[in-house]
Amino acid sequence: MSTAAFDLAANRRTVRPQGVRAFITDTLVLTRRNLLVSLRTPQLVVAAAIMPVMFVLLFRYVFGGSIHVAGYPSYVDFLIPGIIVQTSLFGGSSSAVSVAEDLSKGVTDRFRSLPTQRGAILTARTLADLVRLTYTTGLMIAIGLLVGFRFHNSLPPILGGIGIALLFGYACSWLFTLLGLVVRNVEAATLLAFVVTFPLVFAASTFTSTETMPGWLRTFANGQPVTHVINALRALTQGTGSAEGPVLYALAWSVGILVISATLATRRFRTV
Amino acid sequence: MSASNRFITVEGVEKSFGSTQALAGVDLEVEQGTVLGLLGRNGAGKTTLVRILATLLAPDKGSVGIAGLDVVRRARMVRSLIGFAGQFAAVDETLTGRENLELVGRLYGLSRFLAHHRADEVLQRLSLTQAADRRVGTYSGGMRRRLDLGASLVGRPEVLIMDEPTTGLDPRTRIELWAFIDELVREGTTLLLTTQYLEEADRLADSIAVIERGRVIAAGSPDQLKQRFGGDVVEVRATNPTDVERLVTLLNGLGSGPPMADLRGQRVTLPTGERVHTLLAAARRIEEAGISVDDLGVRRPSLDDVFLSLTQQTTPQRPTITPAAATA
Repeated sequence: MSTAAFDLAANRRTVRPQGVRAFITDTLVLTRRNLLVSLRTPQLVVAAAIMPVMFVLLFRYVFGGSIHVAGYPSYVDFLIPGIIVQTSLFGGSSSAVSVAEDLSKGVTDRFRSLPTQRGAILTARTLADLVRLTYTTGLMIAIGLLVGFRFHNSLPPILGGIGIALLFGYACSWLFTLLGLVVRNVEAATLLAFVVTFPLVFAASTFTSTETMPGWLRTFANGQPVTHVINALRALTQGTGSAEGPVLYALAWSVGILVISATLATRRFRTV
Repeated sequence: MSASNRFITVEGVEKSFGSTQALAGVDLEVEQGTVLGLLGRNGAGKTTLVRILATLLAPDKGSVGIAGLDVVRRARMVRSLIGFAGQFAAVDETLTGRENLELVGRLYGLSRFLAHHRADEVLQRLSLTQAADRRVGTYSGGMRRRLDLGASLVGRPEVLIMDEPTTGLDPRTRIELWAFIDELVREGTTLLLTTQYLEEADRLADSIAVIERGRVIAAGSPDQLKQRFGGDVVEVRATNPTDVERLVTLLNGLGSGPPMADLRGQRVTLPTGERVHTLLAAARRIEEAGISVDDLGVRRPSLDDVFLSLTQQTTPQRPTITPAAATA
């Protein structure tokens, strides 16, 4: 075809075939777009790395000396699994912001007006988050190794533990996608994501054992998903205590959050 | 209009958001290859209607068809026929112009090769080839708008739906965009656009539908609408803005309808069927009242006059001055 040809009449198109292949193509095309957008926003990439690094340094060298957790002779071995899960939650909250931003800028309207598989739009959002999550998790492990963190288990449980942490992070990115779709506004999404993540991360076994917390707080901390996921990751990477309980809880919470959030987000997306 | 020509049909469309009724029964028809201008103020329901046409919203009642396809039941098919340019330039600032267009092409289901080719074609058409590989963040507002329009053309749509395409553009860019829209229409694209600017509707549209409070309150060609207004307009411009209300009271009853005040322009306009008689009568009254005026004359009605008279009739509580309010 020639470049001059812009003949609309000669363009009675057939409708784009729908199906699994179109879904996969759309998902990949959009995932690439989401990743390009984040990669080219340097403050996002740097911010995603700086915050957790500060936390590692703060708790390893400033507070770490005075925190003693039974069963962990070296606090850094206790700390790093907590930081990994914290990072995945804080990172996931940026999903809410990206979703709200695409909605308010009209980008979502454009995508929805195209013969795109609508499910692909949200799937691509969370897949891009998963890629980013894998990067930050790898980064946290590397930083951890630099400041003295060591694995104390064989490879399969270690990989299993990391897999659970990633699954939980992926489920949370659906949850944050849902939040972004509901609030629609970038500032509100930022605030809401913070309000949701803060108690989940700090009222948990992230930085210290829940045993020293007052009763009411301990009840919350021991019941909520972040503690279960961190405990599972610790047990699997450090070989400390029985992994079975925390792993089952962590998997149940992750799958539950994933299924409920994805269902609600997809339903919500039809009418945004 | 023959039945086969009705390319876009809107029948009895209603849509509410909570207790707010955005569309209260809209009927419209657009012939293939023509331009329909949807004219209305902010909040009149234009965007809601456009979003329904673009398959982004489903109507509560009524039906909308594009090329004989129902926009709800055959949404996917409709989407491959339309191009949609929303109110904001929906392009990614961190991507280049080319990347933005290729992305849209891929989402229309084009192969990578064809998407690349179409992007080139559109960039060239919109004179963006030079800037193609620059990030959109470095583009001017006009360039972004052009790119956004370009994105809606990548799929070579038969129907282009544009929500306030020139809002916020400088006059030169607006004129360029108009010329481009003309070109698309010449090639056979059917166009539906919303606008708040009468000048724009007058310039681009073959037919105009005036929408107010979720209803079409008038429809027809620009000329038909002007004729419907009936005759001519006597226009007075007050020297002193405080005299505008007095002029409205003074001129009431002289014309074929109530006088209308435009406070910003310090003007009062009066529709009339007998131009000379009304002009003389108005001149006499103004002189007797001793009001100082800068200008007094008769002219053909503009779409502004039509629009103001139409919207004033349907919204009596509007805070412009009516004779009753002025005397009170």
